[in-house]
Amino acid sequence: MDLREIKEVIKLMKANDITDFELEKDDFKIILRKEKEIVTRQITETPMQAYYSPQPILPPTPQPVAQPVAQPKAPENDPSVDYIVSPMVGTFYLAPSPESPPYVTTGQEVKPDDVVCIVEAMKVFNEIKAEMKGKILEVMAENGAPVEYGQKLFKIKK
Amino acid sequence: MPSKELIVHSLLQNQWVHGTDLAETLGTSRTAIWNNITVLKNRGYDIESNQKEGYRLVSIPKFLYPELVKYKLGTSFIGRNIIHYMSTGSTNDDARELCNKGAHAGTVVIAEDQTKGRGRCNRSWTTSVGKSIAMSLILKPEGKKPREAYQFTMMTAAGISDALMSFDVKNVSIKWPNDVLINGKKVAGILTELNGEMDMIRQLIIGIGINVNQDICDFGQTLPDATSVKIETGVTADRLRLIQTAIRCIDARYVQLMRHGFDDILNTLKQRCCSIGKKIHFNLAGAEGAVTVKDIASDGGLMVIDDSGNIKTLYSGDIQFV
Repeated sequence: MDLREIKEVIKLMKANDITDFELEKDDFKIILRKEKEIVTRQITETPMQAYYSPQPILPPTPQPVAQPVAQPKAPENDPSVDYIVSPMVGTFYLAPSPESPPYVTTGQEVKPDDVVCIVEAMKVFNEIKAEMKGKILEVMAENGAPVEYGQKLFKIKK
Repeated sequence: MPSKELIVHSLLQNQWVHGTDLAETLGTSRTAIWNNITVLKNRGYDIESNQKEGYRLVSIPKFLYPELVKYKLGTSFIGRNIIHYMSTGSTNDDARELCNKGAHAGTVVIAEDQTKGRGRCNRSWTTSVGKSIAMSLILKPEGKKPREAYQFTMMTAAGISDALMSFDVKNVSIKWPNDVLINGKKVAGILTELNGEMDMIRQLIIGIGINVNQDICDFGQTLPDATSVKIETGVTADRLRLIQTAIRCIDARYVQLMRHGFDDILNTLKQRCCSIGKKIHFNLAGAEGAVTVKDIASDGGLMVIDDSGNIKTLYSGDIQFV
C-alpha cells in the first residue's frame, strides 16, 4: 500500500464517517483510527505466517502479488554487513532433507556460488546461493518455517 | 541431425531404404551406413536387409530413444534436444549437470530407470523400468522471476493432463499444486528445481514422473494412492506415443504461458482442480488445521476458508483430503 492509497482511504473514511480501518496483508499491517479529527497511522511488524495471508478488506485497492517486506533499519550501519533475502514466499529449509546436515552454519565462510538454503513453495525448490563472499553471522529464519518475499534469511559479514 | 537419427527417421518413413540413397542423403559411404545399421541393431532395432531393396525396419526397440521421441515431434521449443539414459540416479540431477555444461533451454532428459528419483522432502519416486516415464525439462524463461516459477510447474501439470485426456483417459484431475490424478489417484508427479537470483530465473529444471504401464502389484502396499494409466484404463499404453504427446502438450502450454500469460492456465487448473470445494487437512511448520478449499489464487496459492470464515492462502506444506 503506498501513500496515495493511504490518502485515498483517509478520504473515504472522512466522506463516510468511518472511524476505524484495519488492513493486514502478509506482514504488512495498517490501522487508521479517526478520533476527534486525529488520524493515527501505525505500522507493525507481525510474526511471519506465509500460509496465512488474509484477503484485503478493500476490494478496489489493487494489491501487488508480492511486496518486499519493509525491514527495520539495522541498528548498526556497517557496510560490511549484508543480508541474504528470500526471493519468494515459501518454506525455509536449511538442509536438502531432514536427515542431511545443514548447508551452512553460523560462523561458516561462504562463496558466491555456495547454496545456503532452500525455499520451497508449490513444489518449486529454490536453491538459494550466497551470491556474495563472507561469513555467516546469523541464521535469521527457522528450519521448516514459512518465509516471506524479501525476508532476511542470513546475516553475512562481507 | 546425427546420422543415426537420420537413418532411423528414413527407415520409419519408408518401407525399404536403399543403402546408396542413405549414403547420398548423409553424404557418406555405403560402408558407413552399414556400420550405423549395425549400431542400430545393437540398440534393439530389428532391421531386415537384402542386396536389391536395401534396409527395412521390422520393429523398433521399447526404449524412449531420442531419435524415436524426436520423430515427427513437431514442437517449437521443448524437445529440440533430447538426452537419454538407460539408468541414472535422477534426471533432475543430470539436467542440472547438463546446465552447468551449457545445455540449451528446451533440452529434455529421459531415463528408463531412476535409482534416486525424488519427490517432495526427498521422498523417493519409484520408476519401474519400461513401465513409466521419467524425464526432466530444462527451461530458462526470460523475464520471469523466481516468485513466478510456480506458473511453470502448473503449466506442466496442465500439459500432462491435456496429454492424458487426448489419450481418452477419463476423470483426469489436478490436485493442487501439481499432482495429476486419474479417478482421484496419483498418476503423475512434478518437482521443480529453480536456480536464480532475487529477480531472475537462471534455469528451471522440471522433473516429471508418469506412471504408464505399472500393475497394482508394482506399487504394493506402500503406495496406496498411486495408480497408472494402464490400471485406470485397462489398456497397455504406448509409452513412446504418450511421451511425445506429453512433450507436445507441455510445449503448447509453455508457448501459451510465455505469449499470453498465466490466465488461461490458471483457468484450466481451476476447471480440473479436484481440491476446490473439498475439505482438506493442511500441515505446515507445526501449524495445521481443517479448512475448505475455495479457489486457486492468481499467485498460485490455495485459497481456503476455515470454520470461523477466515480466508487464508496456502503456499506450501502437505494437504490431504479429509
